[in-house]
Amino acid sequence: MVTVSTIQNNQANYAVSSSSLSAQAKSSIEQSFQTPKKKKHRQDGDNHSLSYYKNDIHKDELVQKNTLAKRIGINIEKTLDIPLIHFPRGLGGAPDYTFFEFLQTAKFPYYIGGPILAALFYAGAKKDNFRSAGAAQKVAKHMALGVGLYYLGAAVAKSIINNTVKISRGVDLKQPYAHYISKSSKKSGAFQKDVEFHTAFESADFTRTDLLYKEEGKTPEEINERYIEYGKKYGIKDDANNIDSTIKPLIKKTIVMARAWQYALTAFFVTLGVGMANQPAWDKASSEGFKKTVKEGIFGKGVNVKDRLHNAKVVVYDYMLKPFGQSFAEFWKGHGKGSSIAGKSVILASAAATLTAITLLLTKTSAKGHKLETTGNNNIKEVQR
Amino acid sequence: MGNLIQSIPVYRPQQQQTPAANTPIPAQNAPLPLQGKPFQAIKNQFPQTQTYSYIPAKPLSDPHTTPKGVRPQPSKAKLVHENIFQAVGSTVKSYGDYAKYFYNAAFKGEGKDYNVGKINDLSIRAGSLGIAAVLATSKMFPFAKGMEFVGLGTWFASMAVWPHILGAPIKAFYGVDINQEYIDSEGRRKFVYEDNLYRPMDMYRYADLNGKPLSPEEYFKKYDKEYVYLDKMGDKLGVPRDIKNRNEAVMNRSAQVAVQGKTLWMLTAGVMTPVVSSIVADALQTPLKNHLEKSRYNKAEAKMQALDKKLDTVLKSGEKNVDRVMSALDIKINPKEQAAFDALFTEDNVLSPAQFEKLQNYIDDKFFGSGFKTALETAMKNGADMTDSKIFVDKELKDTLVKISSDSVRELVAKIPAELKSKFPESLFGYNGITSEQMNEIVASILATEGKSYDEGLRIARENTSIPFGYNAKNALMQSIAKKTLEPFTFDKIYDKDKKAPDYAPVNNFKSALKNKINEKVKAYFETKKCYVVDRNQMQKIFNFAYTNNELQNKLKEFERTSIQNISESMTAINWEKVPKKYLQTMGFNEGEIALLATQDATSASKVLSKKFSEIVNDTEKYKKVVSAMSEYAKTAISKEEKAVIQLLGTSDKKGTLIKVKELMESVAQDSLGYNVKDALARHYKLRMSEIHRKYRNTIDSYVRPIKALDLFKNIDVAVKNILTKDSYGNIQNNAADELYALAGMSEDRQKASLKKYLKDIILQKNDINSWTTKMETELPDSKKGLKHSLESVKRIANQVFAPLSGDTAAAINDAEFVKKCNINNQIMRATFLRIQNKLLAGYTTERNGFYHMIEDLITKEDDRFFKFNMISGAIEEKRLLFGEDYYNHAKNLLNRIFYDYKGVEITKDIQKELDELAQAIDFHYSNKAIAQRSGKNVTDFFINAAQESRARNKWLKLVYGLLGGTLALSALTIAFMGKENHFNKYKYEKINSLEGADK
Repeated sequence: MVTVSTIQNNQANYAVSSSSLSAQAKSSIEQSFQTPKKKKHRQDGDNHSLSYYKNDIHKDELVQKNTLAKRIGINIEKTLDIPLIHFPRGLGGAPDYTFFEFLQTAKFPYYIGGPILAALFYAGAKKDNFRSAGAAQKVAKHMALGVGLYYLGAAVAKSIINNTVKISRGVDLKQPYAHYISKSSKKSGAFQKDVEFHTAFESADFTRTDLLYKEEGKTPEEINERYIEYGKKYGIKDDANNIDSTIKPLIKKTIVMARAWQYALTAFFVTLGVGMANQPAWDKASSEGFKKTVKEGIFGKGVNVKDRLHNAKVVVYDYMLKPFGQSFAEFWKGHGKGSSIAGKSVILASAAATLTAITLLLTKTSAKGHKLETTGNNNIKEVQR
Repeated sequence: MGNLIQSIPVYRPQQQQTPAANTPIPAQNAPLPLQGKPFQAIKNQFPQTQTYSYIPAKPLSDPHTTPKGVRPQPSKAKLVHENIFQAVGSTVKSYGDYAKYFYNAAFKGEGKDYNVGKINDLSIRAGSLGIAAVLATSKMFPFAKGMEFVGLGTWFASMAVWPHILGAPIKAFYGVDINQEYIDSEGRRKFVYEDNLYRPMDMYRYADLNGKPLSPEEYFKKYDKEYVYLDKMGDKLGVPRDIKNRNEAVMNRSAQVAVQGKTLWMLTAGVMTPVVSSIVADALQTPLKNHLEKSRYNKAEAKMQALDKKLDTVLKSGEKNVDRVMSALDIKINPKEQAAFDALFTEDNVLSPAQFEKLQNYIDDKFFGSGFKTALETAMKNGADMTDSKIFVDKELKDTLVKISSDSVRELVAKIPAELKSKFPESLFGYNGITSEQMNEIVASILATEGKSYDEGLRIARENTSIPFGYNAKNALMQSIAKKTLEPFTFDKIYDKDKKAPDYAPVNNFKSALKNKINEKVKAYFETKKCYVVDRNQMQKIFNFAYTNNELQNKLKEFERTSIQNISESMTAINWEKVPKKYLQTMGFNEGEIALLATQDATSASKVLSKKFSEIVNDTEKYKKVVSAMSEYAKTAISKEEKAVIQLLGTSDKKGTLIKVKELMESVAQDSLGYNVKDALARHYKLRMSEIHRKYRNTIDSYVRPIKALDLFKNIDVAVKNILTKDSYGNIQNNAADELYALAGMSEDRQKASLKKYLKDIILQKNDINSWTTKMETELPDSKKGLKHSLESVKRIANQVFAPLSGDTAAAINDAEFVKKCNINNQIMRATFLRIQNKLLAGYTTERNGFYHMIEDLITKEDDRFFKFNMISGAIEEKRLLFGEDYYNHAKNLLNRIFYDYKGVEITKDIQKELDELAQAIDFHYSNKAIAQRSGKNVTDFFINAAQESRARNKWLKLVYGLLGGTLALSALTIAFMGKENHFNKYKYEKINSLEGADK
């Protein structure tokens, strides 16, 4: 069926059986029946700064130009919200507390649990004589590194998938949107926010595909501009009117597959990270030397620019990249039969899993592997060729 | 699905598919049949929109499916009501489901947010398991490996348990179970309070008072109205009873508590998970350690005993053939190592010196330990013939000889002084010796003498065909090269009257000098070409022997590693972790004292100790208690090690495994490798025996010394008196104060006071004679003569410091066997201390000699007889534990006979034999070791270490339990404020029949 969905229709396109996004659904439903109070802001929406999204929007809007700076800004905002808004609201038992807020608070134990465990280990070590103090410090260093590389591993796993999807399908899984919370729905006054930042593809069930239309477009080509771009990457040549509904199920499939692999790769990469943190390569570079070089060599007083640059290079290369590379080699090699097998298998398994993930994402989400049939009911059935 | 949600009038596309939705709309009654029409047709149909290319969209579902009057399907959702076992079961089962979810999502792209979210749970656990496995493989020892998994387990356990711990009081106070789960209509497990905005009240409709879901029939048998569970919850939450829509009000209030509870959970989980995990893992350490220690030792012991049995059989059979010994002991050569060994040989078993050396080194490496090299060389050369040089006509030979020619000329020309140069032919300078072609000619002419034609020889030489030279080729080559080199020149004899030439002779007769030089170099070259023709079988025999010896040593070492060696997780190491801390506890140090001990230097620490020891000996009851407790700990620690030592070295009745290995290897070595290797082996094994013995002695001394120190503190007055008057044996009658130079000229009180302090110092601190001397000097600074000037002083002091335990102490220990063990140790230490004073015992340089001469002295010399007797007795005692009573009685008899019967007699052959026998029985080879190595840990270090361990632990306990307590208190406080009216929640209720006045 040839349809060009309007934004209005899509905003109404929410089932309330949602377990995770019903707050959004509710607010967007409310919104959809309200007339905009202000005139449209988005005349050249491509260059809005973050503060625009925080202060000036009155409905959900996609954050245009998903730059690193904007993402950092959003993440700072989101992180600060955890102690300043979500925890107070949660402890108070706000009636409109959302699942999103709960998930945000869940990041707190995730990020402090590891470091506290490492700190507890260090606290238990004998430090009253030089030898044991040295040994304790070494263990603590490896643990701290382990915690750091654990989070790094998780980040790498995510980024591999995100980039694969972005390059191959044009879908930016990290695409943020600003979720406007209507004043009328604010029951609990203080601590409530006007805007929450989410990502458009965070849910496979309730993907914010509605935000992907170009609202001010006049022609289907203009309105469906983004879908047409996706279409090229997915390998679909379809009518401009039709393409959005053709692509939506594929996007859903992409999200599910990408998320599954993100989680799976995380398991491999955190193991790799902790394994590498546990190698002797890191013992050579002392943490004291590192601190000193950073503090006095780069940020110290009376150091000329050339030396600062040199010290920065030392910090990055000698204290980070070199031991990083060496630790990888040592992990591969191992120190005995068991650790050699473990190291090799973790590295090989990580590589194999990454390859599998990329291959599957490239082949299975492409429209080329499917014959698409449109049936009544706006329901696209997938038929294997 | 809850009524609340269902009642919201929303547009629900495709949730319910009425048949109308799928029926195509008949064309005749369709004014707007948009479906299926081409774009242009639609455009034509709407002429008013012709100017726009944009066409209004059709609503997502057909107008026929308007939700009016549509009822949702009844929900199949059900509360979960499980006991703990069912809960565990369903958790395990759910992981299976998660794996399915992963397969569907990752390979097919199918799934919903719920499924994908569960994959994360699975992946976190898999990742953590991977981490534990990787960390475990990087650990050397089973306990450390095990702890990685224990840590992982406790981490997840505390992560899982914490919400339940938080949930229990919340449920008790407010009736709200924040962990309540339900299974939704699609069979997925979810938390009731997962999403605050979704409040599935319906599910409580037929739940009984315990929250168990019943069928309506069952339910109404028990209750006469719905929602009894919510009623009960509402009462706990304090929701008034007489309000309208009370169930909804209760549901909302419970949601408030649930949000508060879950936020508290997230706030505290980051601290509680690691804290609880550490506490539990810490508590599991001791049982895991004990279990592993036991099982490891038992396993090692069983292996040792199995080896022992095999050794017995072989020794009984008197088998000396290496191969048969190997098969009897089930030792098979690793094919890889055999291949590496085979690769060292050439096909014809002719080895160059370098190759032969490589072979030697390879076998030598199999015996670890030094001292085998020479013996092995001899043994191997017995199996190899050094043959004459084998020479081939090849490029290497020719190039070398050409080089020799040119080098020789150049070296000699360089020696010609400048003023004599004119007397030599000019062409000599810059001459490079023979050319390659000349070399070929030489080769051809030699081959011509061996039956080949000259031309053929020349061809062979030019083509570098490698054929062997005949037997005489070496000399022929030497001569012809010298001849060819000199051919172009004629020399006059030079007479250098002033003898200015630095090396006159060669210049004088250049020709013969050059000839000699060339001959010398060629000879040296051929020397390197000499070969070993080895007897392959003999070499294999040697290799097999080395391999067997290596294997047996490995087996012994493996046993030592789990038992007596002080390496991670060995029995000894575990004792050292446990026992000192127990001593510390027993002695009742307070926290301040422990901090001082842990952080100060040894001198300050020993002051703290000294104070404590004095405190204990002044309280008779406490003294008894402390000594008895300490001796119990010492007994367990020592007996474990003793068992292992006996397994290795054996007793007088039964030889230990190490001794058996030694005997077997020695006899096999003698048979197939000769005396040299046998002797080297004997030395090696003896060294190991004495190492084990020393280790054992160390252990006893370390644990017994604090007891002895307490004993000395208790009897310090007696000790001082004994030093100042007579020694403990009462033999020396002269005034001791005169002998103890350092004390000379002091008042008696000061002598006593100084000595007391001194004795306390040396029993607590370093076990080394230098330390004794230094302490003496600091204690008595004015004296010019000190301890080192008086053997008598050392003797008296050693006799007191290591005197047998006093009656009080022995009574407190109440174990004659252990008291005996302590006293033997004291006796040995006493003897050891004196023996180490080589300066004082002039003439007795090495111990064996020392003992022999000392024994001899008992017969020939009058002076110090008792002192020497005591020392020898100590040495015998030292071996008594190892070799048993028979040995002890025999040696003691010998000593007594020599001491009492042979005093002053002439040494006959028979007496000489007895002297030898006694000296051999004592047979100490390890005299030059520092005393600190021979004795155990000194008392101060012992307690410093224990204090450091215990302080680190106390600090940790404080931190961990502080965090635990703090978090629990915070949680309790927060829980107390839950479910109350606050900033976010204002409770306004409409009363039932408020107009009529329900209160009436």
